[in-house]
Amino acid sequence: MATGTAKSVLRRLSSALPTVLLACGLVLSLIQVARTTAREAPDRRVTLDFLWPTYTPQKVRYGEHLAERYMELHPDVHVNLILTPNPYRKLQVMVAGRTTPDVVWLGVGWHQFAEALLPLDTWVERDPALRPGDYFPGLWEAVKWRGSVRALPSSGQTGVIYYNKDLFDEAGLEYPAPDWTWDDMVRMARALTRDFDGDGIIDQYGLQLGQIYIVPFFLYDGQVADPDWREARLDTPVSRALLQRYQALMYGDDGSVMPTPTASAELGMLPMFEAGRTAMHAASGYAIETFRTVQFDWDIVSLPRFEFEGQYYRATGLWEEEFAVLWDTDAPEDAWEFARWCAGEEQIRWAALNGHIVPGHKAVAFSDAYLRSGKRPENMRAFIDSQAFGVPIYPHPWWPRISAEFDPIINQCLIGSEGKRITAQAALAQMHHALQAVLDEYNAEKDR
Amino acid sequence: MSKPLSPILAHAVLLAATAVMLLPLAWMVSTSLKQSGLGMARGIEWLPWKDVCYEDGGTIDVVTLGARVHLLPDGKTIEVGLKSLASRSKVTAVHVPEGTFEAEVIAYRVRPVTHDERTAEARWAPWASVQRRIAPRWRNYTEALTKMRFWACLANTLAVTFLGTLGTILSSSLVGYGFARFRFPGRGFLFLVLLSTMMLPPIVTMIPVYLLFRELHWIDTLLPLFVPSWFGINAFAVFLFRQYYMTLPFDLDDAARIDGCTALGIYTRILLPLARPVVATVGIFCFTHYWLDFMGPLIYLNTIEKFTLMLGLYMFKGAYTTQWRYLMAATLVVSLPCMLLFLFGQRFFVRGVVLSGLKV
Repeated sequence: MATGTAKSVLRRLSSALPTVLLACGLVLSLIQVARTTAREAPDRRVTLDFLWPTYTPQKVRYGEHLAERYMELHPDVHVNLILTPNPYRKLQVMVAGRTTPDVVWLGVGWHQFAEALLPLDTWVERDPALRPGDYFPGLWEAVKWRGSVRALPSSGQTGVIYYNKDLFDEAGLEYPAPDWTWDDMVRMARALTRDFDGDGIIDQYGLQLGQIYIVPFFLYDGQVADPDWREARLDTPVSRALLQRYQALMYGDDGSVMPTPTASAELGMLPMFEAGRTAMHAASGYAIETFRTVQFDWDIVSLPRFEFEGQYYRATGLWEEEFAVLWDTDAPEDAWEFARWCAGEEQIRWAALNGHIVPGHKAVAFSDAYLRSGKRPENMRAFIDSQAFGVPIYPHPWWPRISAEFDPIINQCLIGSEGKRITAQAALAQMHHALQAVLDEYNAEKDR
Repeated sequence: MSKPLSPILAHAVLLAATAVMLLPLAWMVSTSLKQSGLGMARGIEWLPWKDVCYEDGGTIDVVTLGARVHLLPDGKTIEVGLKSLASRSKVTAVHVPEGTFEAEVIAYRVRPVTHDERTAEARWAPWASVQRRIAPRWRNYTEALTKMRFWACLANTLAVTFLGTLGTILSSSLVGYGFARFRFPGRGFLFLVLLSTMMLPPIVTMIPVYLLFRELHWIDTLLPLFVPSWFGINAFAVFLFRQYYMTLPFDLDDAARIDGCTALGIYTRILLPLARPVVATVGIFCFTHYWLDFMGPLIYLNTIEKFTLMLGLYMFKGAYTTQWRYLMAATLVVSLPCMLLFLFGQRFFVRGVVLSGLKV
């Protein structure tokens, strides 16, 4: 009798279990939603929304440091850190939804938001402590659109060549010198490209440039377009010769010293260098964080000079980082003060010494603390020296569209199969034509 | 009449296909346990290994750079890179520009592993003192979960997934019931309108919906992520429920009505309990959708305390670099509930699709 009662209780309990679990789940979920929905109005004079990317946990720390430190120094200001893994997509939606933050972190490609950013010229002019000459000139120019300052720079990551010193030692090669040439680079790359077991498959490539370096290559002898962005200027004898040499590195008669873009995409460019499968690798300062954990010895050197008809040309990509104030801000003065503080010498120094950025402020960049920190790379100076010939990568508001026009042409030139691959000359002519068409459309729209 | 494949052959083919499908998962597990610098680019290396060097009675972690070898044909001693050696055994083939020769390895050139972002000096160590060990780095998991603030992300994801899934099941089953059991003017047209919303890419409605939630002051809360599910917006789920209800005889409704059951009673007491396979199917679909949703949290959430797991994972995938071992470790942990759910729920899942999908 007792067993029967126990069984019946158990049966009732087990039939009620799903309902109980459901109820518990519902209650706990609602508590979590309520907890995250509750808003405490900060007891401060002003709240600044600050958009910041979550590219790495270290990057998050950098943003948190800026917000926390500023609030410590300015007890009347609350900095509301808006974190996102995709700042540009987020900002697009926020601008469209008129919920823009007050201050934003921006990087390469910021020009697409140029019209949503507050021009800062008046503030810059009336602030005696802010001297444009304290920043690298190329970087200061990179934060302007049509002559107007739209952001304050903090970092200028220039593209350099990372090289594996152990592989150079193994091949008995001298390390690249700061004034090396394109021919030196090709010679070293040939010596470092190896098929160890003779099976016809290359086990170690000498060089990895990456497609992103295509754009700076156009700039070896000038600009992509005129300063007003009305006339395309990328099809020049120098850029033609460079693209031809670039193509030859992958498909040259004397064998490949560089993996094709397809092979790079399959294996990952950074991981190939990280695993010792490429001896030289072109990248900006963003790669440092990753490469500092590898155990082979490596260093960096500026991109090589290119000789053409007796003259030397040189360029590299410039990945700038900056702080900008949005048009829609309710507190422009406070937003400016905060952006100004973030891009000031003290914060740039903190970020540079903690490995977050390549400093755009000259006093920090040339300081012993930064150049001789004892951490790799030994030749940190290459980042700084490259500022002299660094050019912004995506310097036009319609660059996403221009890029979409360029990509299939570049692919046809560098990836297309043998019969369908187009020459460097044809590729540049097509890209020049495509760029001119986009610029004409953009200018016609703006002139209206 | 064609002969069926023999069971052994059929199983062999299926097992081979399964193995191929499991390879990415195996690679994910393997990468999540690797030391730094052992990503995918060395070719496929399935085991997370490291080199150690025995010295002074203990061992230190090292990176092996090259070797000093004694060429057996002519007795010459040369130094070569590690990739020139065919194997790590004492006597091995060595690939040099002049050809491939048999050689005896005398010593390895090794560099002690450091943890302070500096490089130690390379040195020579006798062949016997350097060994390769399988060394899974379990710390990748704890480090990854700490860095992405896993527990906070998990609590938010669980809340959104639970409420979103529950809301979809309740609202879709009710709307589907209406379309399947009631005759009213414009029923077919309204159902068509509902189905046509499936053709609308979400990106098209992203900004208007964002504006709507902004007006409600729901930005930076979890509400926009699950509240819409309580209003029958999942057209596919409605379609599944309607199709299933239509396979059930109307006699059930009539009998219930004779016994005094209301329309809502028929739904709650008869049709919904009978639709358990569809509930399971929709449940699995919704769970996966809300668990893996990236765009919604990206648009609506601003503060890290409210992030879901998908946003947390993106901390390891930067604009230019990816921290593979952390990303793989965290991805594995985050994917586990979805894998387990499908494993245990696949019977319902398949049955639900068959029942509602084939009897259109």
